[in-house]
Amino acid sequence: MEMEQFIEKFAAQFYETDAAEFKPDTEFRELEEWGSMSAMTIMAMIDDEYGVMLEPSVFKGLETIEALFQEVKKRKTK
Amino acid sequence: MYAYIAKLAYHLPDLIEENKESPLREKTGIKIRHICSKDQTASDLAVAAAEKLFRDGVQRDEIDFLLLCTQSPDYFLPSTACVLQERLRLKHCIGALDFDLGCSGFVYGLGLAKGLIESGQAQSVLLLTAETYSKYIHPNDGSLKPLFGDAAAATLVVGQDVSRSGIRSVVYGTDGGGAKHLIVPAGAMRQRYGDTAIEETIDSYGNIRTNYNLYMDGLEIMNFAMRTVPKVVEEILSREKMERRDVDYYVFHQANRFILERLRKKCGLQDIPYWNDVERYGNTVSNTLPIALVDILSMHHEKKLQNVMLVGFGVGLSWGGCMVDLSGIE
Repeated sequence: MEMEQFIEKFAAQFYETDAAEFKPDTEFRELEEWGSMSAMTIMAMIDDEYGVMLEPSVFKGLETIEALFQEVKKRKTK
Repeated sequence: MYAYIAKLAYHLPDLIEENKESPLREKTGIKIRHICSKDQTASDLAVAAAEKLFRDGVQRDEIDFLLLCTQSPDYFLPSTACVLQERLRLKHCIGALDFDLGCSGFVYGLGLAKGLIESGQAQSVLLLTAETYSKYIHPNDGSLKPLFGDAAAATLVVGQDVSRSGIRSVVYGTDGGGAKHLIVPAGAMRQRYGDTAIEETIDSYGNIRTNYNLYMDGLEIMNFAMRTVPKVVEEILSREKMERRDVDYYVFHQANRFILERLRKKCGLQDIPYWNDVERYGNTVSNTLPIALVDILSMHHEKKLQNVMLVGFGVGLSWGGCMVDLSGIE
């Protein structure tokens, strides 16, 4: 499971944000385009693409794309 | 004597609110919602829905039990169903009660009606669902306002002298640990109106609500639905000894297009008839399933609807599912 591919899939959920803004250290909730449906869209992407159903309480504690990636990767190898 | 759904009707209040074009509208698929006026209550909508059945030939005297599913009763007491007995000019020698459920309510209502009929306690049950979540939602809560619509539905469930039930394999589920994820915290007995100060909060998106308004953690509710609904589908198929393709139509609680599409995929129901229509109603809570059934019946005259799977899920947390036979409905 690669970071680059994860960032690509993450970025694909947004339509108005420049691709360059999506980096490992991006605090995704600070993105201008982040809205009330964004969390659901990202959780859905993680489930659909990686087969991982993150608990909302865990997701809420993750702030950067890297942190999200590491959490998903951890669960995928179980 | 076995229970069957004999007739259905729904009523939407006149006032329409349109959802502005936005990513939320795009994702949810909800374009317009019907909303009660200030003086209208859920019971008024329920009366309008029931009167449609009576105009369509159902006899008031025929009804021997009235079930009202609502989370917006006229009073804490008496039961709104008792008040409706009088407003609908039903007989006195009937049972009438409210039950307080949301999105799972229609399935529970069918289960209760089935229980009453198949135990010989009733012959013709009038199951009313009626909801006005708009009255609980803060006017400046942009996360919830575009999601919910008001409505009522009336369903006649009757006993028939046949060899098989028209409401089968009823599955129930409850998880009170999730109560906090979809709640109006104050106003009832736990945090009484008058004793409980109004506390306003503004979330990071600028949505305003108070402790007397509806609160929903969308992420938790979606997660709950994705975990729970596939298991309900499996359980019903197993009890019915059926494969997915044997079911004529799948009708899940019509919350929003996004979650319905995800559930369809999760349950392996692509290429199988599956209802997904929230555009003109929004989430009408316990009414989404009967509204869907009315629309499916009017759209699919030719289709055999002998095995229709219903699954409701939401506030409680509560869920339920069953298989219904609609083939006898004109």
